[in-house]
Amino acid sequence: MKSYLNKSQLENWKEVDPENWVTHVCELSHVFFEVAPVQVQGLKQSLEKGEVEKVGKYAHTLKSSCGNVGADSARIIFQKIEDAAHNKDLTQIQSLMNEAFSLFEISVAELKEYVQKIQAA
Amino acid sequence: MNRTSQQLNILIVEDQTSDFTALIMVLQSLGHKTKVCFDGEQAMTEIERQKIDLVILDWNLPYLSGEEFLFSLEFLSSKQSANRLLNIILHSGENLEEKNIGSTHFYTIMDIWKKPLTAVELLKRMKEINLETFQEVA
Repeated sequence: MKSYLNKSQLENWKEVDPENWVTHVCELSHVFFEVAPVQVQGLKQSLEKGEVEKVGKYAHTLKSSCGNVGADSARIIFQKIEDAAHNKDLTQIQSLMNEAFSLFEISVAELKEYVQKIQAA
Repeated sequence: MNRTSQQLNILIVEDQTSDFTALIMVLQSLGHKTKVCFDGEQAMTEIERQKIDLVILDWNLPYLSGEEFLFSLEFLSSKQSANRLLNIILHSGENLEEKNIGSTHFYTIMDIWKKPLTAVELLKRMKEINLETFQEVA
């Protein structure tokens, strides 16, 4: 089954702090679980109101949040939304949204599963 | 103090929780002291209040952007003393290389980091910073 989570990026933390890498990954993931859904909600609401600049800002933030936890597929699509917002291309943004939300949800689920696994190990 | 044991006082100016959390973890693993400000205004206050060795500055900040922050530093430096030269790393999702942001008499741009950087990349880039610079400034 295809994975949308770049686990090797999370495991990079072993090189930074071999003793506490699990704690670091869990902490970063919890920040992501708490903050990113709020950003996604903001993105949806901004799009509904047609506020393209805000859509761009939320996409920019989500790109970074996803990048920090190895959610690379989601990061790439939020980058595309940010670029489309920069070009004020609402049609392009709307065509990317469903895939973005889907990739985001899958990434969250995979990350939760990964966190449980490393905590249990 | 040698290069490996030098503890820096680092100010992270960043409004994104996931970004500053990752930065804190990496910097603290290297033994540095960190303080976070969420916008440029808070950061200006912090710089006036204490000696900061290095500022890691996000470009897209609320209230006072990275660009405005740099401009304000020039005002602060000229108002106060000439030896307030600040070392700065710019950290942004934007491609800041294209903006040709250079050092001035008031601050040194030590590096430009493009987000998102992985933990290992952050560690590597931080280790590449020449710590001897900070002894000269101190």
